[in-house]
Amino acid sequence: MKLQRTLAALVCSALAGGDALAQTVALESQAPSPPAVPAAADSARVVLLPLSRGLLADVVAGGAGAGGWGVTVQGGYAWSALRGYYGVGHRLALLADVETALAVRWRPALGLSAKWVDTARVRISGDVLLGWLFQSGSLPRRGPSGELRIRAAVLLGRVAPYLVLATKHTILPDRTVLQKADSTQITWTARHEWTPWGTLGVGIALTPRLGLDVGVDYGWVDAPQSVAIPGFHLGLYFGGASGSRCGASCGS
Amino acid sequence: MKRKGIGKTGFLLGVGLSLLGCSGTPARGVDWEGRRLAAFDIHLHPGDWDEIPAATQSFLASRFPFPLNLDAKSAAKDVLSADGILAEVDKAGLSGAVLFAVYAPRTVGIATNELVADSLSRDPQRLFGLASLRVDNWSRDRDAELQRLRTALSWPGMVGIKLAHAHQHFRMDDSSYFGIYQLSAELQKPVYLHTGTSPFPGTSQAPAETDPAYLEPAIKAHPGAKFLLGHLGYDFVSKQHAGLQTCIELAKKYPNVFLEPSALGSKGSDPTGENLRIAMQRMREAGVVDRIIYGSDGPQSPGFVKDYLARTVEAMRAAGYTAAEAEAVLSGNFARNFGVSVVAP
Repeated sequence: MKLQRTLAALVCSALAGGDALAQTVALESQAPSPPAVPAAADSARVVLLPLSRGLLADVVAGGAGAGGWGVTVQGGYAWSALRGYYGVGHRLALLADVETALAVRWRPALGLSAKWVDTARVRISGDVLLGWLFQSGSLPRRGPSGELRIRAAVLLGRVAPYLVLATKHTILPDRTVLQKADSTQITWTARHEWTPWGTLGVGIALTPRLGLDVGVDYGWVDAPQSVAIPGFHLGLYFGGASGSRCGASCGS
Repeated sequence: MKRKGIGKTGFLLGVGLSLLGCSGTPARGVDWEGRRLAAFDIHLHPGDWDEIPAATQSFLASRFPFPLNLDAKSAAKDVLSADGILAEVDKAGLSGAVLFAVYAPRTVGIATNELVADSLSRDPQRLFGLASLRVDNWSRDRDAELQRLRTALSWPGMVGIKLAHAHQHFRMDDSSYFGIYQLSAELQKPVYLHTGTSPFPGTSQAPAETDPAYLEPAIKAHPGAKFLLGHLGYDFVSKQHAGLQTCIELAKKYPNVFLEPSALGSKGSDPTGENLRIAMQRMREAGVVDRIIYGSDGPQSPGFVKDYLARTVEAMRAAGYTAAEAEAVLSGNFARNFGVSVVAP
């Protein structure tokens, strides 16, 4: 009898230690009821996944598999964010971001994340987001915003250094009302605000469903004519990994 | 009498903030071939964000680094106060500075004479002031404004008058304003004049209000008044020299004309420093070094005052100034013509 069975087990990383930590054991076997001892199961293919390959990789590098989900809360200077995703396909996830700078500049956005590279040690994905910018304070601004983002991470046990490079574009419309003695003239103009973005950080898995994220951010708002000060953030993430964590290129 | 209890008054020119300039207070003076030369900055602006027109606030905020530009008022607060300015003066190693009053409600805002006088009281030995007046209802308020100016010039530390035709919207050659220069001559208080264009919203770019050539009738008619031509007629819109040669010719022609190379050599207006070097070189070649009075147009941002001094010193070195010439530019000419004793380094 052909039997295909998948077991998902959580292994306490704190007790096991090091790369031996596994969060998921995926067992495929044609034997009816063999003991679930990977080393002895000739016909079984067992994949031990380090913590970084699950939720952590999805959070910092994107590209969650179907059913995977996660939420990250980041606080820092000048940027803070609430980010979420939900995997809807083998390499595709829905994104929802709310970013803010000092609670004065806000940008909610929705988007898609696609996994490009997924090996045992490296995850790279590309994101596209569309949203709206709201900025009050000394320089009020608002308008539609779009973002293209590349995320890459190196998966090292329970930690994952990562890099985010993005280009954000916002159209800022201006309405000018010229009131004359006998008429009112309204004209619309628009300008483009470009924000190249870079984040260098590291994600740290505390448990298979919970972790930390710390990084430095550089968002050059209104480049190139402006000056921007680098910032930093500390984040907490949680969520659930999808059932299938490995692509074809993921070695065991 | 000087009023007490100053309310919300203020003015700002080119305010921006950075996170630079955290080093300790250096020794006073400028090192020049082993000598310490006293340096004095004749051009600093105190002020209050609330007294700046909204359009200019936005313009200034756009020059702040992100994210400080999100709340420019808070960012500007410290650097515009008397204590903030003194901190910048100390950081630059300056012996002292002159603070400007300005009345340009439609462009760069207002810093009242009272605000300046109050700021001077923080360190009367090192801070001095230029008083100013409103000209926007001149036909109606002329006599009252001139009397107000006269009164302000009697206050301790007020050593001269500040005018900015482009910001205040009046012609340089309009004789109806010559009473200001008559007062300058009568009280022996030099008058500082902004020359050249300006990037601030609402500023007049008309030649009659920016080109120093239009000042010649006033200069000629008031030989007893000292005219200090600020910014050397620089075109801050196109970031290039425009009135430099005119200023030099006026200085050569009239002994009561002085020259001040502020702002034009900043990183924003002169990224390579070449324009400032050219200005310093041409003035030296024209033989008018004894008319040059140093100013920066700060504080703008933490470290700007110090940086502008360094850029000016570098420009003078590149232009071949001697130690004596550099000392005259940095403090000697100011002390002699404004009747102020500059604290030695």
